[in-house]
Amino acid sequence: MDDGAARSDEGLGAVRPYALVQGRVEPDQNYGLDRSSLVQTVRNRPTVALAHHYNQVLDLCEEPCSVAEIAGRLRRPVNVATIWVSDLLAERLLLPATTGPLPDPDNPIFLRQVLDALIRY
Amino acid sequence: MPSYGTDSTLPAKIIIAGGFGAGKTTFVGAASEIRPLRTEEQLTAASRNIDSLHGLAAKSTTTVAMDFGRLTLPLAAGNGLGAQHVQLLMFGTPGQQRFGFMWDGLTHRAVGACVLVDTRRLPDAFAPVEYFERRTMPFVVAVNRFDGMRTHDTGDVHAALDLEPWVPVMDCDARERPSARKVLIQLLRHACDRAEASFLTR
Repeated sequence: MDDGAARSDEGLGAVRPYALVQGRVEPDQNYGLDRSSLVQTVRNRPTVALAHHYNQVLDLCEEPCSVAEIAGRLRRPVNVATIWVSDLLAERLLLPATTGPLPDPDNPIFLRQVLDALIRY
Repeated sequence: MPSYGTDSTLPAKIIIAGGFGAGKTTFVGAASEIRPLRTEEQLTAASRNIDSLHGLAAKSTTTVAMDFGRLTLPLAAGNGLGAQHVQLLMFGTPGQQRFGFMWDGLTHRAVGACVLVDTRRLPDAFAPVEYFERRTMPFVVAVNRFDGMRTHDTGDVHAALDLEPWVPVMDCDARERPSARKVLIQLLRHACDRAEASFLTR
């Protein structure tokens, strides 16, 4: 894949990013992903031949990283980043960085812990 | 699915709303631990399952640009959440009127919102305020004081926006990190109070 040319593309034109996901507009498997989902690259990441953009995602996700941040850093639409993340989750090269259940956004215990963390910061 | 098992980070989505020029980008930049990023999203208004040519023609797609920033915080030990960190994910969003149809997806599972206000363009805040009220999502109003300019006090803004009495209104300087953090603390405090109150009366 001629990814060098794609990277030099300044804008987010309708055609180029979707060429990098084989024309898909949705991931093969969703894994409940949205822009806020956090993922992380597996430790001792195996050396497998991957398209350049997959390696870029894996490099970004050495620390927990959201789908939105991946999209922003690689300057691709969030929809495209979601598909790449889903592909890498399927290959077990990325893992969810949130291992337990996701608390509801109005869960008082969760909110109290976040508030306390912010105050301590 | 395998995972690390030893370390878990929870996301906490926060919406930064407000009219054009109210300081959303600046605020996200001040509150974030990373240089703020620009994210783009293509949003489709119609169902994705329409496969007739007629259906395709009826779809409307919009590209929406958002500011993105994050702040990673350690959680206290023994927090009962099974996680060690939280990542506050801040999304600075374009005005609600043009993108009304996509806001529900964007605000889904957000812990709360901050509506930034430029008192010179107070009416810009009506649309986001009305939206969060209707969604019963906790929000605070932060009056961005550009260059220390003080034209209205927070009580005036509260009245002018016809806010419910419990909605906090505070001054901020969106360029200053401590000021942006104070707004986030106020938002979480408000969200927390509301959640605890509704938990008790459930």
